[in-house]
Amino acid sequence: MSSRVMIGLEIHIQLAGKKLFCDCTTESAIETVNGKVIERRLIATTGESGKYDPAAVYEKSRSRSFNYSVTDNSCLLEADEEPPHSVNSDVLKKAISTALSLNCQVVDRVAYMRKIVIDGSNTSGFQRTAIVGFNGYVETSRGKVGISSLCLEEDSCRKLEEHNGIVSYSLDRLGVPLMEIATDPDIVDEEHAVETAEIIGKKLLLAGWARKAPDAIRQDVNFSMGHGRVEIKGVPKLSTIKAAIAYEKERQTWLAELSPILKGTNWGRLKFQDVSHLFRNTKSKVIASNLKAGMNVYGTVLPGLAGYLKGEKYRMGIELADVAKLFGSGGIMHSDELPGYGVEDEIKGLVELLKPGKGDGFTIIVSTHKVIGLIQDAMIARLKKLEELDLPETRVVTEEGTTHYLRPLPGGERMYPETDVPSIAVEEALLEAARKISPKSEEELLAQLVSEFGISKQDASVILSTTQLETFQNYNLILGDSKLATRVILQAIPEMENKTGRPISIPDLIPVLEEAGRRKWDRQILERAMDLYFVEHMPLGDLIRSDEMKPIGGNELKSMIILLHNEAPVNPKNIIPRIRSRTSRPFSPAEALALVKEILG
Amino acid sequence: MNKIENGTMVDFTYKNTKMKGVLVSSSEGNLNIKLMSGYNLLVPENSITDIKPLKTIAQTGGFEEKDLIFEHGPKKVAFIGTGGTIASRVDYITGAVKPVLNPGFLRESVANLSKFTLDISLLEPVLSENITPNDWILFAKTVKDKLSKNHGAVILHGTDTMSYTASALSFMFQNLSGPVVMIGSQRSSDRPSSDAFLNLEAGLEFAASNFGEVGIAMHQNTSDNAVALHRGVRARKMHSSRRDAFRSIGGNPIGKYENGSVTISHEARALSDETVLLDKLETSVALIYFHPGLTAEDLAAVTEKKRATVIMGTGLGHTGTRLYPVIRDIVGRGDHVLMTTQCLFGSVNMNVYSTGRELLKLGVIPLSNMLPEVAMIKSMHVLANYPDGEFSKVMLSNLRGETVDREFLGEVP
Repeated sequence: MSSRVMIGLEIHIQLAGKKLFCDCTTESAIETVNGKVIERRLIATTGESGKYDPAAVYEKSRSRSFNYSVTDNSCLLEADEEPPHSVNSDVLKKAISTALSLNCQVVDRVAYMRKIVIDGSNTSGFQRTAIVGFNGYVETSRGKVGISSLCLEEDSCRKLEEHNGIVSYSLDRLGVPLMEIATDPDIVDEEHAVETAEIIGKKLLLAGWARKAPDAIRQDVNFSMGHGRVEIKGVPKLSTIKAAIAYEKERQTWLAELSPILKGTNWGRLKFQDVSHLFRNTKSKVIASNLKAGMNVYGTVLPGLAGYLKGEKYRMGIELADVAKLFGSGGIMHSDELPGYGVEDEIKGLVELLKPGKGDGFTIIVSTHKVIGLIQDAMIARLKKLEELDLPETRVVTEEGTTHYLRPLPGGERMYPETDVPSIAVEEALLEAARKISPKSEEELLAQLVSEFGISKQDASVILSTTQLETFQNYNLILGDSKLATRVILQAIPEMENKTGRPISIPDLIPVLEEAGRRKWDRQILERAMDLYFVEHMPLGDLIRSDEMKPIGGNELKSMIILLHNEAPVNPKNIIPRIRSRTSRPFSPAEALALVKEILG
Repeated sequence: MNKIENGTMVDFTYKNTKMKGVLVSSSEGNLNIKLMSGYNLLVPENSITDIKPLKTIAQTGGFEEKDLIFEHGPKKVAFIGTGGTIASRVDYITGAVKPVLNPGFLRESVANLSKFTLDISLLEPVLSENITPNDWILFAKTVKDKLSKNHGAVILHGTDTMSYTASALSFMFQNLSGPVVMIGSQRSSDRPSSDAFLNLEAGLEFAASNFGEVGIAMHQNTSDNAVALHRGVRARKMHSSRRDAFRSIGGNPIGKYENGSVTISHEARALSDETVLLDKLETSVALIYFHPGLTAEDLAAVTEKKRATVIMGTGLGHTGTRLYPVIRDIVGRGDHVLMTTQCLFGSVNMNVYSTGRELLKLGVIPLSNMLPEVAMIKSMHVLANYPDGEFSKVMLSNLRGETVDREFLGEVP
């Protein structure tokens, strides 16, 4: 049975400024405060109906513990050591404004919920989230795409690493305001998905409210083609959306073909046994080092799966490896890819021991006595699900756009009211304030940049398309010179990055710009100063006091002009470039012109 | 519109949008509807049109009541519930955290439960701020009864007044045949991050170990890796929200639970053969926080009918001289005035300054480093159980470790 492809997007945008429920900033200057780490565990609890959420039950079975690095932009709230403060009214206003610009209805009361998440990414074990708007739409080239909801929620912790059942997170990202915009499943194919994401993303970026960070915008893709909804999490780039949808389409197509073939297989025959003794002298480096580390090799028959594990079309091996990886295993080695990975001499022994029948495959896996039973149960459960084409689940995407099983889909069970935050009435005054800051369209912004700041339309358009409007406004304010600010953004910084081979950090740059603004440096001086600072690593204090940066004026400037005049006559038109050709030190053009007048009499 | 019962699935239209959800509650003209996505929507009743009941779902807010007999392992521990965050859940109807005794969550959440047989007794749940000395007597009698059949006891209690109850029980039990361990939590147990689970795990282990006093078992630090056992008469809640809010003031905890094992300090009192309960309390005792604005009239008004007045004085144990006439009157009529320090850390010493010496001359009893609340509760105990002539002597003797003989340099304050 083939069914219409349905695609929906969830677009997450981090907002810059203060966090959602405390006074910490969204940016962190240092990784950890005194290397302080908090160790915690989370326990699955029931929702308001007294039932467990399937995703929570699954996580519970993995029994991991969590370490959190305390950062300078986290307080007791992120440590789950105090109740939330009141909601950040600035970001609430921005969320309402965004909802209005997406043609959404705005709720009468913003009511915060707790969404149970026990993978450790929230210290509390839940994420605070509230619906702000619903039932909106955006226009696309292929018709309207509905916006089912806009939520304002807390971002989760940033994952640092996972090792031996301990997951390490940083508290820096926890509590950063996150707008989640969910579309209806109106998107018809991968191109349309990219277009829709672009339209919504651009609107948000132009507003200038997003964090300036690589992961400020993340997408989840909801995909279905008749076998249930698959949620693909954390798609970082627009190009990956396309690849992920294409991959998922292909995957579900071959699974649909394979399903009738697998019907009725006795999965109970999948039974791991310790086969470590066959690998005493193995040539596989991975296996040898794991055996040395006290792990075991387990093997099992994979009933009916020969040729389907890694064939032209079928990839059941990956489906099983995904399960193994969730329990800390590196993956599996199966009969469709053996001999390989240095496993060759052992195959005969394996076949004798496991006795795969006609059509059976087999696999080996490195794991421990404690976990192998869990892996076996999880693999059987997964095979049953795939056989039934019961495909709804949460998947994660790689850079290349391949998707992998992550966990069951969470249900409504995981939500219950956040009782520590009173609901907020959306009064007319708040709506009015939100309308006032309504994000402008690209055309409106272009016109404003050109007329207000006198920069060229071409420069203005580059500033907008690279989402540097706010940066521009900021630099203009510091430098007091819109053309210089444009030059810094569009030329000086990229050149500096080319020279140093790394991105220029904005907090590093600001003090240099402040000096430039204070001392009225022109373009050449500022660029020379940036050179000294970023390429030659001269400290700012030394830089300002250096001979090169010492302003030239008074008698010294006058002598230079007289000298130049003696070489060839100076006039108001040629004096500035001629002084510039002689020195790279800063000088006042007005003073130079006055001196020329004086000398010419 | 006909009244639709809570727990009914409804179709409705809100802001031109058709929606479906379960009616959770209605109050003050607002409906609280749980949408299929799990989000609750709070909507003014008059903004909704076309609301249609579909079917009734299970009552919201209800929990399955699980059996209260837990027979698992060989270690017999009494499990006494009094209320508090540790025994509370979110009330989804009113949206507040309320004391709801539901020990059913224990089985799912407490890692070491299989080692114990719990003798459960659930008292009427009460928020700890509503607890009064009468409740202490009820708790004490329940503990005495339970200790006759079990090795030790754990008491689930709200954290706000837990140290008061711990002090009261400490004095009321002259001897204990088993450990009495009070446990609370700073995060309610409906939260996956609740500190209740580890505190319970540790509390049960403490209750199965061998020491004869009343302790408080709470997180030692912000991590879920260690639980401290504080002596009841030296513990204090020193933070409004942190997991490690409880501190032993002026000394170290008497026990620790870490990596699955218990250590009990040699300073903890030993077990006795039998439990001796002195269950009388004289409650007419005042606790006065001295401050620059406190007038003689205020002091006189509060202490008028009190048998004993514990003052939290400044520094080493001082009050303004304006209060002296009132203090003289109280002592003169045969009641008692006792001095503690509002610094909490450190002792009163009323010989250093002349004001202190004058207060001593007026008959004020200096209570060393006894905590103010502990001094108040000890007064209740001593007034009710000892001859009045011995009041001063008993107050100055160290009955349950309520004063610390030697204080050392350390982390705090």
